[in-house]
Order: sequence, then structure tokens, then C-alpha cells
Amino acid sequence: MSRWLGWIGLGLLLIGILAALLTRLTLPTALLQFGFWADPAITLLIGALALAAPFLILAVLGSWQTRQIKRALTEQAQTQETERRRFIQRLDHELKNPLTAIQVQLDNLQATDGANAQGLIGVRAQADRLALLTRGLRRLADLETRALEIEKIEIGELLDEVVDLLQAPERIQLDVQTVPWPIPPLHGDRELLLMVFRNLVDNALKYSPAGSPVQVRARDMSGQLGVEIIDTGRGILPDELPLVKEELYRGSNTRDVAGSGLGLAIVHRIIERHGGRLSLQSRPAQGTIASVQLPYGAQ
Amino acid sequence: MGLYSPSVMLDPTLLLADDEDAIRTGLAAALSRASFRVLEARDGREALQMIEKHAPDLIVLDILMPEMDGREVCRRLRQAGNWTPVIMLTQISATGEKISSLEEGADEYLNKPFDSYELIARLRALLRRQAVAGRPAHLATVLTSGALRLERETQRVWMDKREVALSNKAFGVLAHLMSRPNVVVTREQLLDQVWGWDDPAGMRTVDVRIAEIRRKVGEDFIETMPGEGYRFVGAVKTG
Repeated sequence: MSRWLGWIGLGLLLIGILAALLTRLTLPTALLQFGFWADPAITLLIGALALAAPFLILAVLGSWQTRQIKRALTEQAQTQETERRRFIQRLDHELKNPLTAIQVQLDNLQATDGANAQGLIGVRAQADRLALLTRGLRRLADLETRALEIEKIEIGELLDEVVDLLQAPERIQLDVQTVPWPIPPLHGDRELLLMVFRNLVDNALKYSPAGSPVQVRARDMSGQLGVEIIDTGRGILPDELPLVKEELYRGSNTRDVAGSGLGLAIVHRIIERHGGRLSLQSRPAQGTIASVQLPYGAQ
Repeated sequence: MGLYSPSVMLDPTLLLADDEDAIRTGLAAALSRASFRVLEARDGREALQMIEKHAPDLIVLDILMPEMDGREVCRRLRQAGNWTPVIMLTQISATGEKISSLEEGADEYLNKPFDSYELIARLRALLRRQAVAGRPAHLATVLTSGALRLERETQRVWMDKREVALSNKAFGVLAHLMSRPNVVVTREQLLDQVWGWDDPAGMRTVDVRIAEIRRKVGEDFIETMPGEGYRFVGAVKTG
């Protein structure tokens, strides 16, 4: 809006200047004897200026205001982000003590109360679930504060290690580019990136049928590392796709599979901290492609 | 049975300090069942007074407590030359926290939430460790073995008087092994005490750091015990 006002103002001014020039060049000089204020060129200039001024003033005011609003919005977003992270840290902290008390008392009950053994096992399972959640929350909080320990990483070796760590290595088809040139080394936090790929491949295995293959492809993509993890599983519903990277969000079609709802949030945060990008493409009942792009980092 | 009956005398005395009643009483019950004589303190100041009065064999401290926190209690004990084994109930996570933990001189750290069996296992292991007068190796600030010198507080390592740059984790592994010369340490123990994450990145992560240490200070110091773990070979001097 203010840009248009600005252009109109400048246009009017330009027309005024042109008209004044034209008048000055075409009118006989005799007319100029009446003095400065009677000069039609000057009149035209002043007229144009008077017409353009309100537009220009509005344009300047408008753009100033837009900038103020934009700044306020960014500030608000930043505060919200900090608040959210602080909340997650507090949540972890506030869960820890009661959970320790519950686990310790459960130990005592299990040691002394044989009659309720079955019920206690059930309670124990739920307490373990909560413990898993606090571990995830702690890790997320940890990620905000811990400094990255950057070292040189060969992506092929790292992915081999991921395959070793997982339950069903025979399902993973690893394909790391070697020709026409090999993938350059990556500079990043080895353990955090291991966690990224382990989580993503683990998700792919978890949410696809037993025995179905999961492909892991690593490519050099115009100066960046690209890794794709491809499964033929149940997929993510389209309207949930933007939400699954958020903390504690779990897809509505995943209730039957155990998980804390923090894995992808952790993955996303680690990739962000490395200056990279995580994108998800998915079709329900067909499968998911998780793509990680990472800059190779300092040489 | 009186206090002086031999069976009671043999039970180790333990001071437990936590301001959360539910945790403290629950743990006290579990520890008593495991034949510890348990003394309870509600805050750091009370803990210090009871340690002075009863001289327990082991101390368990929560970090966040009113009056005086667990860190301060531990620091004061060590300053006063008291080297009773301390287990601190906290999380080892960010590197910064771990360094400050080393400075305050706790022997072990246990993440909340934990179950009582885990704590009991750690306490028994600490008791088994040979009692030595003075500062034990795993709390010494400087360790040397031949040409290798490790400074814990500054996280620096020298080999033949030349400084060696180790990653944080490799330093942690070397410090842990070097503090327990000739003792076999499993990968799980290293993950637990150096990484501190409950669901760690896996056993190979430890091997990667061992490889880094060997590459940088030589092959001679750390021996692989197949199927068991690793151990530091050679005499270690503290000071």
C-alpha cells in the first residue's frame, strides 16, 4: 500500500517537473518579466509538489509503520520461542522428582506386597513411559544449551554405524554415492548427527510393514549433503505433515506404535543447529520420504 | 539388639539428603531393606551437621535443596579433607555441568528418575572400591602415567610435554579410565558416566572415542579386553 502511494507521489512530482521544463522551453521569454512568482513553470512545480506531498508523506509513514509491525511480530515470535523452550525445560524438571518418588515407592511395593504384583507391573509400565518422556524432554532442553562439538565425519561410515544400531539391519538398503565423485566429508557433531539418522531410519522401520525395505540414499547435492530415508509404510496424513516436527505431536495414525512424540522434534532441532533442513514428503498408505540437507561446513 | 551388636556394626552407614519427603522416605525404606543404616537429612545444612556427627560410610546428595544445595555440601566436605564417597542425584548432560561437577568432587552421578536398585548397585560398587586415605585417583585434579599427563579441571592433556587436542568425550573417557588404572571398565559404564544420556548413541560411539585417544596419545595406554571393555594400563600418579 505505502509503496503504491510512494510511486503515485513520485509520478506526480515527475509530471510537474516535466511540465515545468516544457513550459520554460516553449513559452516566450517576455512572460518571465513579471517576476519569479508569476513564472508558470514555478507555479507548475509548486502545484506538483503540493499534490505529491501528501502521497509521499503517507508513503513514508506507512512504510515506517509496516516496519514497526514487522519488528514487533519477529520479537513476539522470538519471545514465544524462548518461552516455549523454557516451558519444556521446566516441564522436564517438574516431572523428574515426582517420577523418581513414584519409581522408588513402586520398588518398595513390589518388594513387600506380593498380592498386587500384576497391578504393580501395569503401574510400572506407565511410569517407565513417563520416564522415557522426561528423557526426551531433557535431551531437547540439552540441545538448546550444549555447544556443538564439530569434527570431520564420513557420511558413509556414520550411516553404517546407524545400520548397526538398529533392530532390523537386513531391511535397510544403504546407497551412498561414490561415483563420479565421492561425497566430501561433513563437519558436524558426530553424536548428534548419529542420533538424527538413527531416529529417522528407526521411524521408517517402525511405521512400515515388517520385512518391507527402507532405502537410505546419500548424495552430493550442489555443495550440500542430501540424505533421503524412504519407506513404503503407512505415511503421514497431509494435514498433519506440518505438525509432526513439533514437540509431543504424534500422528493420529500412529497410536498403536510406542513413541514419545519427541523424536522428530529432536531431529529437527539438531539439523537446524547444523544450518541444515529437514523436509518430509508423504502419502498415506504409500510411504514417506524424509530428506535431510546439511551444509558440509568449515573445511 | 543393641547398637553394638556385630551384625549392625557391619552394616554400612549412609547419609541420604533430599528435600522431597516422598523420595527420601521411599529410598530410606529401600536402602534399609538392602542392609544400609540410613540417616536422613532434609537440606544441605542438616546433611553437613549429620556427616560431622555420624561420619557415614557413604553419602547420597540431591542437588537442589533448601538452605544449602548438594554441590555446596560436597565442595565443603572436600575442602575439609573429607573424601567419603558421594553419589550426587542429578543429570549429567551439558559439558559445562559435568566440568563443574568434577570440581565439586562427587564420585558418581545418577540421573533422576532412577529406580532404587540402580542406586543400591552403585552404592555397593563404591563400597567395594578399596578404601584409601586421602583423595582417591578419580577425584585427583592431575593424573600422570609415564609421558602422559592429564589435567582434569582445565580438560587438557599432554604427551611428551606436547599438548594433545582431544574431543570432550575422548577426554572424558581417558580421564575415567586413567582414574581407575588396571580396572576393566565396560562400554556401558563409560556411556553412563561420560555420556550421561540414558539412551546413548551405542557401543560403537565408545570405540570411536577410544580410537581417537589411541591415535592421539599412542596405543600403549588403553587395552581392549575382548567381550568386557577397556582398561588403562600402567601406573598412575596423582597430584
